Amino acid sequence: MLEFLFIFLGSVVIGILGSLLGTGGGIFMVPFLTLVFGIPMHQAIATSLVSIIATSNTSAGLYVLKKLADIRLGITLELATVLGAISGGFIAVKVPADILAILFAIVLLYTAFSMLKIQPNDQNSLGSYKPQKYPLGFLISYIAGGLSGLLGIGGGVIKVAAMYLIMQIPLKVAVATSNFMIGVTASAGCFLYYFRGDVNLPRTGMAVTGVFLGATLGSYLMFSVKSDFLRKLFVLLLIFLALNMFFKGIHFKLF
Amino acid sequence: MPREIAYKIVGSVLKWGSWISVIVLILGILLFLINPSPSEFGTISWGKDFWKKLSHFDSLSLINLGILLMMLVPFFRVLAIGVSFVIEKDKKYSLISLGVLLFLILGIFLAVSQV
Repeated sequence: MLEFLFIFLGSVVIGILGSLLGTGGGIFMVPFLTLVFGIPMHQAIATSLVSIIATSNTSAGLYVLKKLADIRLGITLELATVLGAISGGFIAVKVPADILAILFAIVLLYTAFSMLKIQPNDQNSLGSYKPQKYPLGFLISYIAGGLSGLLGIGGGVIKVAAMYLIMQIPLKVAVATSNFMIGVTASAGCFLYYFRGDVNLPRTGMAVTGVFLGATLGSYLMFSVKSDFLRKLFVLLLIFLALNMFFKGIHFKLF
Repeated sequence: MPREIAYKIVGSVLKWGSWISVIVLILGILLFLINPSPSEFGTISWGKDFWKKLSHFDSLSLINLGILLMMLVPFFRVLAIGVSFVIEKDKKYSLISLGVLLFLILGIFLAVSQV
């Protein structure tokens, strides 16, 4: 019973982090469930995908009502991310958990370095824009969707990088549009896990409720927390988690 | 004006869809904490049995319903976007929304056929 309480409390924190950082929180949820509770990788991915939907619904609702998310761009790129997520899900169920853990560690490291690369100050430049290089944007969105279905993450960092760096979308719009998209991408991937029986009902129920409450709280904190300090803290946390996931993948124990 | 309606519809689907799912989840979790039933962890039961259990406020069936509703919110979000583009008479984006919706249905169909 204590396990459920800790999953709930941890998920509240992940919801807050995800909301403050503009990600779905899946990047934290999978390591949290596998490293702390020893939950099997495929079950952790399933729980993470449902949690991402909860975070995305909360933050995207806010962004849509503030008219910051570009619905047209989002729905267009979703054609690629949804197909990617379905493919990723089908590949994941055939890939051993150790390989998934190593892949996850690589994506964690990529996310950490992307965060250092994209500076928060860039968010000030919000003006008129026209999306560029759609084919490349589609390809990267497909890959982001694939990783979402494969690893139980939202793939938000990849989508934001594609929109901002390649499609020339202002960062603030890219973040909002990505948040709007990740729920649909996660939904496309999670049905496969659900019907396979990978969704552990009580644990997932606790995690989803916790993440939802955390994300709701985080959306109020968003404007009062210093993002630069948080960003650096997150980068360190991501590198720590990446190392742990990698060690888990190669069955190496530090302690 | 139609664009205002589109943003309001999509925003409302996201907000209310999530809250309904979470309320069902919280109810299921509270009942589960009062009376835990470890025998059915992770199992998905459907058909008459599922609805019968649900009508008896079975905790795991309620959690199952809450999770399923949460998973379906993005589906209804895309549906709402499609409807709002139809209201705007935007043919191109109505078709794109329909495409995403069909891909989502394809995903569910493929997932069910795997079982």
